[in-house]
Amino acid sequence: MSAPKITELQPGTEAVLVAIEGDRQLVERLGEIGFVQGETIVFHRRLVFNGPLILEVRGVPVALRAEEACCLQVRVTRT
Amino acid sequence: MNFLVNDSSCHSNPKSTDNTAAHDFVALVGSPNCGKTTLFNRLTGMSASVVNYPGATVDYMVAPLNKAWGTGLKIVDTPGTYSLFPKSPEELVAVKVLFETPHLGIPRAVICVADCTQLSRHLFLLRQLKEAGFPVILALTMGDLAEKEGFKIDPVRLSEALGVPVVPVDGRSGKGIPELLTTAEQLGGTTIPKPLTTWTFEKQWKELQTIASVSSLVRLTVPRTDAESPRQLTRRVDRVVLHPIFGILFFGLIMGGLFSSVFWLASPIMEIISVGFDEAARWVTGFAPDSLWADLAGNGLVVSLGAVMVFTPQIFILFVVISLLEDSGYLARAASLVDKPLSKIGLNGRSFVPLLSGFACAIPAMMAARTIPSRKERFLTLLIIPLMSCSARLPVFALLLGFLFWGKPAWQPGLALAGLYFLSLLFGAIVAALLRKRLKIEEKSFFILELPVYRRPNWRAVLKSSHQKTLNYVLEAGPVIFTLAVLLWAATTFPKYDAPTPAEKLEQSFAAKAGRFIDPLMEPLGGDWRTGVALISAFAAREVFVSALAVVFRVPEEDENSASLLGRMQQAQAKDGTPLFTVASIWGLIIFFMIALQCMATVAVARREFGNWKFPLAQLVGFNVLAYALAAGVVQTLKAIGIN
Repeated sequence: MSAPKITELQPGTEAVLVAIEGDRQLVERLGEIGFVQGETIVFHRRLVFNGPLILEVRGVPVALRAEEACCLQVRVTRT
Repeated sequence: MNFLVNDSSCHSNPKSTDNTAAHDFVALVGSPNCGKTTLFNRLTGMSASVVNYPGATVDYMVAPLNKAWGTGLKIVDTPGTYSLFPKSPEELVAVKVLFETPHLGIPRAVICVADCTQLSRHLFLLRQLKEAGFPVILALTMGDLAEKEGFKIDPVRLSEALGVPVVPVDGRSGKGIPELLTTAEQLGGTTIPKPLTTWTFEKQWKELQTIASVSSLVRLTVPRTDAESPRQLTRRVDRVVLHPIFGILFFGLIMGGLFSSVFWLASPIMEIISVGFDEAARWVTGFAPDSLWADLAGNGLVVSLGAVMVFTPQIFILFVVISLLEDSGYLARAASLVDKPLSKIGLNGRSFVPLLSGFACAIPAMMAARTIPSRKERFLTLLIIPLMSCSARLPVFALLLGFLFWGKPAWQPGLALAGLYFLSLLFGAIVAALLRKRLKIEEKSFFILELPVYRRPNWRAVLKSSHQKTLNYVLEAGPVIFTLAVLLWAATTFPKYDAPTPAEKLEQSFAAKAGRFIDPLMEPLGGDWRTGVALISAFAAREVFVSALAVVFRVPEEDENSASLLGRMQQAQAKDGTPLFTVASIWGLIIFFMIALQCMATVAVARREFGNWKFPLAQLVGFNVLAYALAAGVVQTLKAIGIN
């Protein structure tokens, strides 16, 4: 079974990135911002109307759409 | 001399062969929001827009070093980029500046700017720059912010770890700048840097691991001064601002405040400017009442200049408010909040700032659209920007609503105006939703936006940058509006320039001939050749419509203000003796002005931003035909149901 995607989890979860899979450009950009394997991320909240997710990586909150966040496969460390 | 260079002109600069200039410039690069532009302003004394919103610099800028720091060097500021692999047009500008600037030569040094609190991410670009072969210096910014968070960075150890000179600087106070410049002087690029080709995910991952360990190695803990760190404060504010209910309320409040402040603050100043230029025109023509030259100087040049200047208060105030919101960090949140609704009509959260600026003026708005990475979303944004109700439409709406609500309490036209703004937004949304299917560009869209920590806006910088943007408007739109306004003067003056009365002169003029030519076209709009002349004139600048109406309805010179114009308009009769201006025909004009693309300066900028003529021309023809058809439809419908 593959690791859960961050979008399948509840806000407030803290997790470690285990894999990032998706469109090449997107994965590259996510990496440049700090979303790489082994990184701890915090899922702060989901914006209204199923809007972007607010994820914190390396101390910075980043807004990204669910379509992008789908790339992020994680292992939950704290709920 | 300071000057702005835009992307499109950088390859055709005539100075490109000046080899002596090589080595005399230092380029500033860095990730979005790293404090690069603040440093640039400090180095050059220029006032580029410094804001707390990722993607503030969309053009590159060149300016000589401020004399206080020394002489001889030029500083180049580039748009923020995360890496040397650009993913949006503004990032492409940054990479092009580094690799393809024949007229600048090879940079003496590249100053990579990194935020102390973001070191584990911002060093990524530095590693790429170094690998590409640039002579790099690392400038560490936001040291004060780091200390508030309870740590500081050891520059010596960082320099050892990275193998590049490291200089802590403070862009706001200027601390560290002499050291930075001395270091830059000592470097000197000799080898020509090469774009990176062998960059893989594995390498990217390794790089990020390396910089993470370097960042933690050079981090020293210091006692925190404040009880709450900026990051904690940001988290607390975000709980409210991004809240499903309070967040939306707050957003509505901010937007409502933004637009009402623009009207309350700008309209008295606009009135003063408009009256001032009218007075000046009268004063100039007064020197030689019957001479053609005095007429050209007064009614041609001065009035045209007035047409350009009258919008500046509104544009300036709107930019001040937008900059304050950007600088505080709120706009990044607002863009995230509206991403979902905007994505439903094919746009992006990043379309928000350009569309908002479109309510001031379409020209800077189109330039701001460069921060949108996906071409499709950028094109859709560019396509609907001219539909946003820009400040040039305000005087027209004010006149037309003044006619409709003649003698009614002031809140009624005010409410109607707010309604028109909302309608223009709704119309833009419909157009975007319809066009997204037709636009055959297959490109993956993404929305990833960093949310910066909240900061107290820097008023001085906000005022300076708004001043700069307003100046850009005057320089971009000014010449076009000015030229067309002078042409309009000529069209309404010749060939019978020596006619005994102004009315006769106008009736014989080329403009009147053109007006009569389109008379049949004006019929469905409930107008005649006189409205036609005013409508054609509005293609110089929308607000010229008001002064053109004043001319064709022969308002006596002594009281050429809109109150008496309204009186004249009410008395004006159509051929059959019925009133020319009716509720139906006024609504027709309002709809026409809401949609029509009458600003040639916008078309020129659109040509540059789209990179072709196809879209700007489609925009020009499409919106004007649509405006005409809808206006005619509204007039005929209103007539049919008996509203006249």
